[in-house]
Amino acid sequence: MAMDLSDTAATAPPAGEPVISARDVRVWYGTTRGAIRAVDGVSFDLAPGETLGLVGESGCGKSTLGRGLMGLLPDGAKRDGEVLFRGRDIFSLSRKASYQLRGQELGMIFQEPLTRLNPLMRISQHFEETIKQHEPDLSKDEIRDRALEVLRLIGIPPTRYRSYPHEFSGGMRQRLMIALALVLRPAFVVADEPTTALDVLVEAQIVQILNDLRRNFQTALLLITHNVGIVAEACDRVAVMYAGRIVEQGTVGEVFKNPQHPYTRELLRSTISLSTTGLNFIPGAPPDLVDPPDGCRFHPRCPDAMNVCAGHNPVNIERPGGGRVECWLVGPDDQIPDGGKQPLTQQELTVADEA
Amino acid sequence: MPTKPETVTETATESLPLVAVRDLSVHFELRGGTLARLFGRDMGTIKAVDGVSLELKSGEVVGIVGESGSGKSTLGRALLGLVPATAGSIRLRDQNLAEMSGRQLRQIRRVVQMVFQDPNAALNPSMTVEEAVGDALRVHGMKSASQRRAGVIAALERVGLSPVELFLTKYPRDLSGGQKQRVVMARAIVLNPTLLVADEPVSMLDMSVRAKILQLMLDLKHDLGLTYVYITHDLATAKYFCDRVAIMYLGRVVEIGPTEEIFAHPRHPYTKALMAAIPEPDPDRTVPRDLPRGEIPDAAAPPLGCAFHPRCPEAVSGCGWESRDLRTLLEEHWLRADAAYDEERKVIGDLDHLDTPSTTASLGVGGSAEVRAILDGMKREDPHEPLWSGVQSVDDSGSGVTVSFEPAPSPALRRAGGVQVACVLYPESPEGSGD
Amino acid sequence: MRGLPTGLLKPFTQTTGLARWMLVVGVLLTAVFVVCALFAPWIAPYGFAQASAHGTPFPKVGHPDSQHLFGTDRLFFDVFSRVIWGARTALEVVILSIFLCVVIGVPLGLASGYYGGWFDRIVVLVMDAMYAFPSFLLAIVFSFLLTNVYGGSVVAVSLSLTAVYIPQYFRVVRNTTLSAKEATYVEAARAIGASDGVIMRRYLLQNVIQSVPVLGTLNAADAILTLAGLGFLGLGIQSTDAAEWGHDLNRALADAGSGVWWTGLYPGLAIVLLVTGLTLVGEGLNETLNPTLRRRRLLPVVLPPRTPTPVPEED
Repeated sequence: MAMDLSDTAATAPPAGEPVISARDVRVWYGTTRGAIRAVDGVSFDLAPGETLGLVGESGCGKSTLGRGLMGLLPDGAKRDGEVLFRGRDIFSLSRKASYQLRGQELGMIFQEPLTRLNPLMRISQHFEETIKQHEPDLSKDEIRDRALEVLRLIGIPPTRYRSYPHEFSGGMRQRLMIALALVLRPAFVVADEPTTALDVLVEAQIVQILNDLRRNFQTALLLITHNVGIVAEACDRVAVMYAGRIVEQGTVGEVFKNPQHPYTRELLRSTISLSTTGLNFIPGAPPDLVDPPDGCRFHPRCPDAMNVCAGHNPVNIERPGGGRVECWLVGPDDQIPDGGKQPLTQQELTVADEA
Repeated sequence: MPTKPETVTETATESLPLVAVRDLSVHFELRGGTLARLFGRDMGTIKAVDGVSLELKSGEVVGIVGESGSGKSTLGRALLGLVPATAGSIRLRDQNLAEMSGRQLRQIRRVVQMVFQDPNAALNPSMTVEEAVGDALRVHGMKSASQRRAGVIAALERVGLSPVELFLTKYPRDLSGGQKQRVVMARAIVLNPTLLVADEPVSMLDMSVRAKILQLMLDLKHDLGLTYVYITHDLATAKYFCDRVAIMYLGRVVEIGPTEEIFAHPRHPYTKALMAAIPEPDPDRTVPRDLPRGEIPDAAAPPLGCAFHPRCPEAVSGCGWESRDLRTLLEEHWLRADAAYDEERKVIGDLDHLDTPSTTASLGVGGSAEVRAILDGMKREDPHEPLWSGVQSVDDSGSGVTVSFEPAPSPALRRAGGVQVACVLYPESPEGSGD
Repeated sequence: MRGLPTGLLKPFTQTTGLARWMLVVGVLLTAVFVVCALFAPWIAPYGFAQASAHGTPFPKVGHPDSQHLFGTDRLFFDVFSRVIWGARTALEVVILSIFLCVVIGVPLGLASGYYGGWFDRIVVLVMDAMYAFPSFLLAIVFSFLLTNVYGGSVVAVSLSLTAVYIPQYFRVVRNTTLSAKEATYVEAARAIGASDGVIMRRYLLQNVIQSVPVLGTLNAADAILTLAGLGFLGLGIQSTDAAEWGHDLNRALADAGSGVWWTGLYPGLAIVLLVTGLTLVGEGLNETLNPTLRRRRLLPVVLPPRTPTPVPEED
C-alpha cells in the first residue's frame, strides 16, 4: 500500500516494546447499593500491530475497561492503576493532555455508528474537523487527499465523499467510523463491539478490513466483543474477562486449543457453531459486582471448584504454553493449604439463579 | 448432556401439511413527504415478503434464515396475522388466514403463538408474571382467577421456572434475560397452541444461556407436540435445531431443503457465503477472502433480475444486470490505488442518475470515445467481471454512451439435488419449476 | 393494586437533595390547606357568609383582634373564616375539574393515539385549537357561557377549567401512546389475541400515565390562579355562594386605598402559598417520575488500597 508511514516510524517505540502496558487497572462506580467493581485489577500488554481480543459476556466489565482506558467514563466513576502508553502513564495526565492524546494517539470505534456521526455534517466535514483538530497546518487539499486515501483503503469510493451519514448503509457507516478513527493514524485503537449491530456478511467484511488495516498502519487494536468466533478470526491474542478480572490471556491458538481456566473452557463449549453436536451451558449467572463472591469469582458456577477456590483469590501465574491464567487448578500448588484440593461441595444452581 | 434432537420421521398419516403458505406477499407502502402525497406520487413499496411458498408438517421444525431486511420477521408475523397479507394465502388446516377478519384472527391465536426476540421488551413492565401469562387465558374467556392461576402455574412449571410461587409475583425488571424469555415462552404455550413461531428467541441472550433456552424449546416440542417456525440470522443454531431450512434474501426464498443437505452441499451462492462467513471459534480458520461485496440493498428498490446478483461472487451473464451495477463497478474502479479519479470523473460526469434501476444506462459528458476508452480500460483490468457478459450493446449517445443490458427475470425456485434453489446456475427442469 | 403505599412513598425514598426538599415543603404546604378544606366547619370560627354572632353584628372592616384573627371586611364577614372556607372552595373546584380532565382527556388521548387515522386528526385539531387560546381568555368565555346554564356555582367554574386544561392531558397521553404502542409487548399482547380495548386498558394505560400526576399537580396550581382570576373579575362564584379568595381580593381593592391591609393580604397570601405548594409537589414529583429528568447520580467512591498482587512478568 502506498502509505507514508515514515512519520509514525519516527515516534514508534523500539521494536518489542509494548504500545500499551496496563497494570492493575480498577474502575469502580458508586451507587446507592455500594461500589460496583466493574473492573477490578486488570493487567495486559499490547505490542504495535497486535490485536488483543477482550472477550466476555454482558456485565463482565469489558466495555468499562475500554472506556476507562480512553478516559471516557461518566463523572463519578473512579479509576486507578497504571496505563503506560509509550512510556507515559495516561491515567495521571491532566484533562487537557488527555484530550489532546485522544484522537491523535488513542482512537475509539463504537458499536452503533449512526449515533456517533453527526447527521447534519457531510462526511467531508467530519474528516476535515477531525484532521484539523489535531493537525491544523494542513491545507484543505492535503486534508482531502488524506481523507480520500483512508476511505479508499476502507473501501468507500471517492464519489461518496460529499454524502451525509444517513445516505450510507450500516456496514458503510461502520467503515466510516473506522476510517475516522484511523485517519490520524493513532497508535492504539479500542473497538467496542464494532460488529455486533451488523449482519454476518458485513461483519466478515469489517473483520477483513480490521485485519488489513492493522497490518498496514501498525495500529495496536483492543477488540472488545462477546463473540468468541470473531476473536478467533481477527485477533492475535485473547483475554477472557469475568466479573471484572481477566481470568486467562494468551495467544488465540493456545487459549482456544488448550483452555486452562474452567470459564474459558465452558464458554467455548457453550458457543454454538456449525460444528456443535450438543448443547452446553454454564449454570447460574455472573456475580453481583457490588459484592462478588469470596475467593475466585467463578467458583459458584465452576464444575471443578475446589475448597481453596472458595476462600482464597487465585494467583495470576504464567500458564503452560504461554500467557497468564488465574486459577487454582493450574497452580501455584505451593500456596494451596492442606485439604484445599478437595472438591468443593456446592449449592446446586437453579433456574432462579440463571442469567 | 443434551444431544442432537432426533430427526422427524414422516408417517403416512402425517403427510398433510399443518400450514401451507402459497405465493404470500406482504408489501408495505412507503409514506413519502406531504408534498409527494399531495401530488399523488407513488413513493414506492417495500416488498417485505415477495411470493413465498412454504409448507409445514406437523411436528417439524422449519428454520427461516436471513439477514436483516430479508423479510423473515415479516413472514413470521404474517403467520400469526399480525401483518396483513397483500397477496397469496396462508392455510392453517382448512382456513385461510390471509382472508380473516380481526376477530377470527384473534381466535386463531389460540393455535398459533409467537416467541419474541427481545425478552426485555416483550413483557409488559406493569404486569407481574402471573398477570402476564394469565392474560392469555383471560383474553380467551377464562374468567375464573383460580382457574387461570392453575393454568399459569402449569405453564411456568413446564418452562422450568420453579419454585413457581417465587416467580408469580415478580415484575419483569426483577428477572434476568433467560428468566424473562422463559416467561415469554410460558405465555406462548399456556393456550396449548399447535404452532409456535419463534423470532430470534436466543439472539439477545448471552452465549451461556442460549443453550438452556434452546434445550427448553426442544423439550417443549417433544412434550407438547409443537411445530416450530424458527426465525434467525444465525445459521449455527438453525443447523442444530431445525429439520428443514429456508434461506431468505430480500423477501424471497432462495434455497430450501432438509438441514443436512443444505449444510452439506450449499448451492445458492448466498447460502455458501453465509456459511463461510460465520465466525467459528477455531483459530486455524481465517476469514474467507471471496466474500460477497456490498450489502443488502434497499428493499424499496431491489435489484433487477436476481436480487443477489450485485453481490454474488458467482454471477453470470443471465443474472439481470442493470444501471446500478455499472455505477458500483465504476466506483470500485476508482478505489484502485492507481486510478486517475479526477481526470476520469471529468469525462464520466455525475453518476446519480444511474441509481434509477433500468436496463439501459447513459453516462459520460466528455465525449463518446473517451468514455469508451475508460470502459475498455476497466474491462482490461478485470476481464472476468460478469457484468460485461450481460451487456447487449454499447452505443454512442450525445456526449457519452448508452450501455444496454440483457434483461432477465428473477429466478424461480427449481429443484437441484434434494433441495430447491432460486439461482440460474442450476438449470430449471423441462417441466418448469419444482413444487 | 398492591404496592400502593410503597408507590406513594417512592417519590420520597427515591429522591435526594433539592428534589426531596421541594417535595417535602410542597406536601406540607398543600397539606395545611387540605386540612383547612376538609375540616373547615370545625376550624373556621364562623361561616363564610356570617355577618353576626350571637346577635351581635361583626364590625365593618374591623382590625384583626382576638375575635377576628384576620379582621373583617366591608360585608361584615370574618376574613379568617373566609380564608379557611376559601380553601374548601378552591380545592373543590380544582379537584372536580382535574378529575373531569383526567376522566375525559386520558381515554381520549389513548384512543386517539392508538387508532390514529381521521379520528385522531379531528380530535387533535380541536384540542390544538383549544390549546392555542390564551387559557385565561378561554376560562372567561366558558365561565360566561356556563354561568348562564348553571348559575355562578362551583360546577360551572369547574367545567370551564376542565375545558381549558383538557388539551394538555390529551396531548401528553396521546404522545406517549404513539410511542408505547410500537413496543414489543403490545405486539405480544396482540399475538395472544387481545382485542384493542384490552390492549388499551391493560397494556397501555398504566404505561402512559406516568406524566399525568405531575401534570395534575401543576395544573392544580394553575387552576387555583385561574379560579382566583375569574373570581377577581367578578365571574364565577359570588360572595354568598361560597368563599373565594379571588373574589375577596377584588373587594379588598377598594380597601387598600384607606389603609386597610388585612382584607387583601390574607386571601392573597393563601393563594400564593397554595399555588407554591402545589407547584413544588409537581416539580418534585417530576424529578422522580420523569425518567429523562432523573439523572442517575453516581455517588463518589473511594478505591481502597489494593492488596499487593504479583505483577505479571514481561514476556
